[in-house]
Amino acid sequence: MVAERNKKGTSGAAATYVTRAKALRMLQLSLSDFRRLCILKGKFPRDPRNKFEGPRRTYYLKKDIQFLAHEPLINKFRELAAFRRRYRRALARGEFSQAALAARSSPVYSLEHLIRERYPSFTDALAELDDALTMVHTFAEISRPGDGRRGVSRGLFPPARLENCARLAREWQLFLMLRPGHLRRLFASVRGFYFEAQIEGVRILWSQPHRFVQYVPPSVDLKVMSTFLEFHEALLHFVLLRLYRRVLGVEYPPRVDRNAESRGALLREMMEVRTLAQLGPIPESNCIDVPLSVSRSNRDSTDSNMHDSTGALRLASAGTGTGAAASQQVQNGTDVDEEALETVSNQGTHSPETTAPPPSLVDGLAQTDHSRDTLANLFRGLYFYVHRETPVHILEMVLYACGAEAVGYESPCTSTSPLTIDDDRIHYVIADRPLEMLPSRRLDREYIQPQWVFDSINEAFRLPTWLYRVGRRLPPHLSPWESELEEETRQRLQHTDAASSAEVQRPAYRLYLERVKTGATSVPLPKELAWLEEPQASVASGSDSHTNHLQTNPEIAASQRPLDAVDSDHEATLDAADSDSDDDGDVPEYTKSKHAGTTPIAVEKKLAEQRHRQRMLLSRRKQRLYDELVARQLQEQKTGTSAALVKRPRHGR
Amino acid sequence: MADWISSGESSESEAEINTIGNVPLRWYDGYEHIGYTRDGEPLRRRYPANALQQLIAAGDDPENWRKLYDEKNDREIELTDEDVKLLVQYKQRLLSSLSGDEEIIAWAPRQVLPLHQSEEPKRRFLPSKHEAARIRKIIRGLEEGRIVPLSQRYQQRAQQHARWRYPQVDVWTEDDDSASDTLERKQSRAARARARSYVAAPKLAPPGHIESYNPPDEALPTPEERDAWERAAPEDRLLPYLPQRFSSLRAVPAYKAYVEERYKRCLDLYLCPRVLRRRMQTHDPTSLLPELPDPSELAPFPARLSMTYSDGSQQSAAALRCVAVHPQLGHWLATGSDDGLVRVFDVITGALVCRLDMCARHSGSAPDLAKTARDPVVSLVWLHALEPSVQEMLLLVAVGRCIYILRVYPLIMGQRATGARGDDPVQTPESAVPQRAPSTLPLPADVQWRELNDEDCGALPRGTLLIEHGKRIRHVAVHARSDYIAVVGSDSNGSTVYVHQLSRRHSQTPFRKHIADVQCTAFHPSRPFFFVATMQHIRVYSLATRSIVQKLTPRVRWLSTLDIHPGGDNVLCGSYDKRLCWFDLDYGEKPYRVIRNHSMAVRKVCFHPRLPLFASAGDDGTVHVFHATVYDDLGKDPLLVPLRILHGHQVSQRLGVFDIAFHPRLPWLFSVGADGACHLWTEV
Repeated sequence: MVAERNKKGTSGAAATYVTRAKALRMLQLSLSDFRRLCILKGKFPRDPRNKFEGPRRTYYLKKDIQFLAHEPLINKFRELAAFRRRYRRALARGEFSQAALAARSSPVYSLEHLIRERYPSFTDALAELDDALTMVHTFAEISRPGDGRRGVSRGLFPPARLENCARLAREWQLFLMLRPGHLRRLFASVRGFYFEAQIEGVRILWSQPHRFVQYVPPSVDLKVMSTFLEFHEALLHFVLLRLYRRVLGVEYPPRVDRNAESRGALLREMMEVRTLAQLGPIPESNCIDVPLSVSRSNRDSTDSNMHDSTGALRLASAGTGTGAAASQQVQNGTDVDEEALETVSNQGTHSPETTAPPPSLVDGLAQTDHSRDTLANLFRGLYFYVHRETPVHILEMVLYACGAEAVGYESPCTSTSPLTIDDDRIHYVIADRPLEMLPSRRLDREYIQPQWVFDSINEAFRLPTWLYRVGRRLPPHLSPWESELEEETRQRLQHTDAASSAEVQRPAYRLYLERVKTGATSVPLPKELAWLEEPQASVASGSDSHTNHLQTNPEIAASQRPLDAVDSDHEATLDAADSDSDDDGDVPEYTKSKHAGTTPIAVEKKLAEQRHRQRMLLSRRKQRLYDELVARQLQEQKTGTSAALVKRPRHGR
Repeated sequence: MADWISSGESSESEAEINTIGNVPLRWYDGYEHIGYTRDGEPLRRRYPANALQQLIAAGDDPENWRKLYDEKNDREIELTDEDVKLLVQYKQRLLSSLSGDEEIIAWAPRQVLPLHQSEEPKRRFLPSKHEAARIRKIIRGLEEGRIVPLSQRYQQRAQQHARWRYPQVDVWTEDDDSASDTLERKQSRAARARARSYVAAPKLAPPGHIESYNPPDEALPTPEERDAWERAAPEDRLLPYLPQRFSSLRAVPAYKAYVEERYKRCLDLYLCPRVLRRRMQTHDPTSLLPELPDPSELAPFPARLSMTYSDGSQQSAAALRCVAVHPQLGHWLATGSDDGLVRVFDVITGALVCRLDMCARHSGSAPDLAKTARDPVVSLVWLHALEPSVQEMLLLVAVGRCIYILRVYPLIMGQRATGARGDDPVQTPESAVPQRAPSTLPLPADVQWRELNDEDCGALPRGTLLIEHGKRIRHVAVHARSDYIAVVGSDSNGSTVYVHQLSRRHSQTPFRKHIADVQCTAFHPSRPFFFVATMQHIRVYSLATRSIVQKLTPRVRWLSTLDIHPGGDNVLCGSYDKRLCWFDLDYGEKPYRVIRNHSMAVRKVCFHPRLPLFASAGDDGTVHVFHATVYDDLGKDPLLVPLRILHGHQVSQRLGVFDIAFHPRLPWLFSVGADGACHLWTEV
């Protein structure tokens, strides 16, 4: 008897996967619509082990395609296609009124159900927010149509859409500002600015280009980007809605004060935020515009305020009414300030000396967890002034996101900025211009470059300002994520060569910063950075530099001695570790002196032992693979490496 | 005031006065006249060009708004009421060239070439009833709000679209109402399956120092690196630009490829196949390694060599075969060596308290170590005395074909059995293991029980019980209550399992059928199960039903050792082909975990009686200490963590550590090896 043969295509890869061409036939869609659908639904090609239709095809999971077939959007796509036909025909016939009529009746769809489907929980959505944020920020900054070939086409990206991107980006930034402590780290790169935030335990990392006209090369298929952007816009909308309503308990979308916007106000002066509790029917006469900082500083009174009088809680009022009057008076000086504030809220002070409680809009929102506290209070009670050559919009967001009291800036209409340059409360002036070009420097202020803000946030510690003074050559700006990358490199190196692994490539400035952070009173600069100590002519020439120099001089003087002392100390520990390890090779490392565990050799040995223990649990095949890879790396190290900026040639076949 | 105004009334005067025709008036700018009348007289400009006068006139005269100035004819025109009405109508686009008073003459002009001669029908002169009905319908629709004017409709629609696109609803309200597990349950099966097959896109790597606008010196390229970068093809470059230091942030230019890089990321997101790699494609070996908890979290465990027990008198150390710790107090340690010596040490002080030569029984009191053929001590076990009243413990020594069960307390206490014999015969019982009930069953042919008497006891204490077997002893296992002893004997014909019952001095060979190559045996700590390890299998027999219960297959070539977890549900075995196999008895016949930790054969594995520890020793001269938590929850797999590798034994003749034993209470480990050393390992 002949055994029954299996029918072709009923099992294995042929039953699980379909090629793209077949998927198109199944779905009865054009390729562009299929792509669009895949992007929106988050379906991606798969890699079957058995590529039954040849290696060059794209394969999808059959189940995915069956799932796509039930998508209601497909019908919308068909309606859209029909609409487009109608529209084009009308245009071709010269029936412009008909075309205009058709244009107004184009089909509309929402992506709400897709968001629900793709992200069943809020944390799922947060976990995939990186790309959405970067895309939205990119298109918020992109040049508007009409900028020649550099811009984006008007058909795909009408101004309203770009404006929507700008709105979302603005609201995201405002969220970070309203609840300090979410922003964790940032980095000024050649590409743009990178940010890291942590929301509900999810790490979110996004970037934002430098504020220039963005070049859109002709090779870029804007249709694809448009589809992605469509989804990202929707995702961000729903995420923001939840963040505002649930996390902050405020109205969404926040209102934009168009008046302030047109007068060049930055985000904080431009946006109005109202708590949900206040959205109830409240008589207009009772509404008092209260600057946010005021309502913050008297938390005990906010409750009563909320119940009886306070209607709209505005984030600083540049508009009309008492708020405007107050800000007018604030500009005149501090002595008037007290009075002005009393007229606004009857209590509370603005002075930086008072220790302000953690920021919040309302009492109920004030639960900042402890891990965030340092960052949320990094600039607590400090007043900043930002000059216009710095990335003002970034600095504003970042400073408020770390708890700054107020950030003043140059604006065409001075009334929009909460602080003028003459304000006595200003502690730090952030500028990026030669010192000579700073008008009317004052002795009671620190004139620093923007990098101080970035580095301080990354270290969660206010760094000494003398390193970053205006006109100086800056210390290097280090990536806060290098340690992650470093860890990888270190692990890769360590089992091969003890010497190289012990010498992890850590910039001298990083080591210096770590010592500064430990609170050492006088920390010497490493030899590589000795140039930082050299008194620079431009600094010395400034009138303000005397006081600062007086502060730093003792440090500099004291630095000579400990430099030697620390070095010798370090060597001593190294020696101790050496002798220890020679004496009893088998004694566990942590029985030795407490310094020994930190010496490179001891660390190396401990890691080697750990790796051996980890290797034990692998299967035999994996053990072999592991040994092979280790041997290969050893080989690589021996043959020497080419430049780190260029890919290394592949080994093996 | 103005005599020229009055002339504006008549219709004649509305005709053109000036005859210059349609030429620009600026041609007459320099002259006093502005043209010529019909009579050829120059027409002089009468109207005052003074704007001030004009303004005054406008203020005085309330009807001034009706007045228009005709510049060409230099006269003022006053609009009549009809004129105004006409103009208003005209502006409202209620087109009518006629004044309302005039009657409409319903007369259609005849065609030049009429196609038909018939008269116009009457209906053309009557208002349409049909249209009136339609208009009524529309009016009603408007009133009821059914019909919305187009302009309003567009506005509404735009608002609606915005609402559809971005509804103001919280998508994740379910999150708050219910815990995540109920959310899980709420999803359909298909949705859960989709979630399982979903592969999240890998995140972009964060930037390093190298991408900084002001990178540290270390990140700046050296000339060679710069050369290499410039020579490399664009696709081989790891960074699309050369790192460079900008003096300040404002000097950083636009990054040209920003949009392009976003685009490439988009392409990656929707065009790249995503795969969950089971077999990792990696160049980084560390990525293969599993995550382990920090050993310090699992302390205490033996980690440090703290004592070596040695017999000072010994010149050439013979290999030590076995070690046993006093199971109750843990203060005495017995070791057995290859040359038939048993030594008992004080664990704390390391002092040798007793030394017995097991091979010296027949050859007299002064054995010649070099000449006589000496059998190694195969096994040492501490036994409870069968009478509960007796506190002391007996030592079981297996040498060659014989098992000795002897009392070592008198020896340790310094009373030689010979000395104590006459003094107090009542206090010390005659036999080490008194027979409590006689056995009626016949003994196996090759087993003999006897007690050593004064003549043949030699150096051994009187009353020592001797069990002689027909085969050389390979392994001895003792039941928890010390009444039963399982012995594996082997010779060239194969192996036999003997089970002895001490209280009745009875022996049996439980297996009627021959089992090939039994390596070792073990009793279950709490239940009536008996484990028999052959070369490649472990069989579990029930002593109650006398039948096989389970057969474990470790898939090794040659098993060497076996131990059972104090909980009784897990079995650990070692093999000569370098493996440890952990069996969960509920898990099936395959091992739960195979650990390849030794580089040479595994000689011994053992569990700690109380702590979650086990250790293995092998011919590579190392002892590996593991943490092993067995959970009460049956669904939870045991946690095995390698903790420490103890190096201390020398490998001699490719033999390393022979035996290990845990202290009954403390996290201490004793090990003996081929180098003749006995080490104590204690916690840090």
